Amino acid sequence: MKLIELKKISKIYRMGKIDVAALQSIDLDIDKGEYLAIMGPSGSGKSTLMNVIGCLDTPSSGEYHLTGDNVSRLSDNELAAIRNRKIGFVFQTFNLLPRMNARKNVELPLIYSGMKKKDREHRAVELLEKVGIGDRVNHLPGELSGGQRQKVAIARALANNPDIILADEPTGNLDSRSGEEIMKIFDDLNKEGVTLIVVTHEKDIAKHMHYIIHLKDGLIVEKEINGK
Amino acid sequence: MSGYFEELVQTISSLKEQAMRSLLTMIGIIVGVMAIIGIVSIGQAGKNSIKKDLESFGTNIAAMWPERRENSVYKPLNKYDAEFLRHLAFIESVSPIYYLYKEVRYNDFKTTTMVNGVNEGYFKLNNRTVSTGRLFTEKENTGSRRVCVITEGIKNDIQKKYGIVNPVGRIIKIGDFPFYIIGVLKKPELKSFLSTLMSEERDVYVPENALKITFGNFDIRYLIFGLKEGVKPEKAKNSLEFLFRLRKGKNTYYGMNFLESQVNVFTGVMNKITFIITLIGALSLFVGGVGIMNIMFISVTERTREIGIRKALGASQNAIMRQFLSEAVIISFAGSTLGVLVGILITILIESAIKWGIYISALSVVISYVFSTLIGITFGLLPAKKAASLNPIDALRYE
Repeated sequence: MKLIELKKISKIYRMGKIDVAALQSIDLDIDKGEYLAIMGPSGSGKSTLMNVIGCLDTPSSGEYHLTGDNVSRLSDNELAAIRNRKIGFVFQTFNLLPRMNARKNVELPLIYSGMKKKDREHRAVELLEKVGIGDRVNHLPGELSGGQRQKVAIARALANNPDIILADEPTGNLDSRSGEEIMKIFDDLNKEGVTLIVVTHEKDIAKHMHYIIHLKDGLIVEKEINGK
Repeated sequence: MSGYFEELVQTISSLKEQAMRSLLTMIGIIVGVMAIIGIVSIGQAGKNSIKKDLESFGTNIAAMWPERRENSVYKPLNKYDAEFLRHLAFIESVSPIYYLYKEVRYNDFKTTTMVNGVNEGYFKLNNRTVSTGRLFTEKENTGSRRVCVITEGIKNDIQKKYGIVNPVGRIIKIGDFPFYIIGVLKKPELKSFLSTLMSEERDVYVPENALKITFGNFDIRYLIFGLKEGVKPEKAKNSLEFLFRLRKGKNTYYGMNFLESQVNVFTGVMNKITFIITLIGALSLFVGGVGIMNIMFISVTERTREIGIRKALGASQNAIMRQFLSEAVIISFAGSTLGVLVGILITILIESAIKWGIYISALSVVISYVFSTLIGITFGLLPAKKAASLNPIDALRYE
C-alpha cells in the first residue's frame, strides 16, 4: 500500500529576481513500513523534500498524496492537523521545550489532538518507558544528556501513532555510542511496522535503512538498495 | 477543553518565571486602574458627605453682611432689615447675629471666646439641638433674660477642671455679668468640608436682647436666613441685591454667601478633578496597553523557535493565537487586580485621613477590570497574530 505518493513535485523559491528550483519534478512512492534514507550534499534539496513530506511546506507544483489524501493544496490549519496526526518529527537539535519536563514535552502533540489530561499523562509515561527513559519522566531537558533528549523527542514523535517518522540528522549532535542507541530504537520501531524516513549524510547511519535516495540539485539521481 | 486550561497553566508559570519583567509591564495598567478607582471613589465620597450634611441642615441657608467696597458706603444692617427679610416670600426664616469676644469665667476657669447673640429661631435654622438642658425661648429673648447655651468645648473644660458632668443650672460669668447655663449644644455631625466652615469649639449663645442690654446696643454683624424650598440661590441673590439697593441706597453693598452655591462650586471642582484624573488614568491604561504590546512582541521573537516547534507538532494558528492572547490578557488582568488592591488601600487611607467616610466605587472597579481586559485583548492581538502566522520552517530555524 502506498503511504506517500509524490507526483512531479517542484518547489521554486524566488531569490531576488531569479527563481531557484529546490525540487525539480520529483516522483517518489513510499510504502507503509519502509525504512529509507535521504542523502545528498547541502543545497541538494533534501531539507525541502523533508519539509514537503512533513507537511511543513507546500509544493509549488505537483501533487502529494499522503495515505491517499491530496495534501498539496491545504491551508495552514489543515496542514497543522495532518502534522499532528500523521507525522512525527525528530530533529538534529532535539527541539524540546526547555521549560517543560520530559513528560510534558511528550504530551504536547497530545494536547493539540485534544486527548484528556489523564490519558495524555499515561500515554506519555508509556512512550518514555518504551524508548528506555522511564526513569527520567520528570527531568527537564537541561538535566538530560543528548542521547536522552533525543529519546524524549522520539517518544514525542510517536505520541499520536503517526504514519511516518521523519528524522533530520537525528544523530548529528550525538556521540557515536548515543547515536547507535538511537539507531537501535529506529530499527526496532521499523520492525514493529513504523515507516521511517531519515535524512543523513553519514554512510554508517544510512546502512541501517532498506534503501537510500540520493538527491542532487533538486533531482533524485540514484535509488541505492542496501544489501542485507 | 482541558488542553486550553493546560495552556493557561503553562502561560502563568512562564509569566511567573519572569516576574520582574511581568511586573514592570503591568505598571501602566496598575497606575491607571489605581488612579481611576481612587479618584472616582474619593470624589464620590466627597459628594456623598456633602449631600448627607446638607440633608442634616434641612434648609438651604445663607448669610448676608454689610461690606465696604470701592465707591460704596458702609451701612450696617439693623433689626428692621431683619424684619424686612423675614417678610419676603422666598425666605423661610431669619436670624440676626450679634457677637462679641468676651472673657467667659466659671470659678477659676477662664477663656476668651465668641459670645453670639441670636434669637430662638437660630437653632432651628441651623438644625442645632442640645445634648443636655434646653434652648432658650422667644419669651426669654424678648425678656432679655441672662441665660446661655454653651458648646461642648466649654462644657468639657469645666468638666475637666471641676468634675461637673452636667453644667446645666450653674452660673458662668460673661465679662462681669452672670448668665445661667440652660443647655449644652450637641456637636454637629458634619463630615464634609462644611465642618471646617462651621467649626466652633467654645462659642456661647445668649438671647440677642440680653447681649444688647448687657453689653450695649450695637449693630447686627450678619444675618442668617433660610430660603424656601426650591428657591435658586442665584435668583435669591439677584433679588436681594436689587431690594437692598432700593432700601439702603444705590451705593451700598452687601456680601452674601449661599451654602448651596458653595456646595455646587465644590461639586463642580470635584467633578472636574475626577474627570481629569480619570482621563490621566485612561491614558495610563493606554500606555500600559502599548507596554504590553511591546513586551508581547519581544516575547514572540524570543519564542520564535518554541512557536516553530509547537506548529510542527500540530498547533493550529488558533492555538498559538490563544496562547499569546491569554498571556496578554493575564498580564493586564493581574495588573488590574494589583491596581484594584493597591487602589482600594490607598483610597481607604486617603478617605480616612480626610474623614469623608470610607467609600469605594464598585462601578469604577468593574469598569477598570473590563477596560483593562479589553486593553489586554486589543494590544495582545497584533503580537498574537504575528506569532500565529509565523512560518514553521523559518521559526524552527530561528536561533
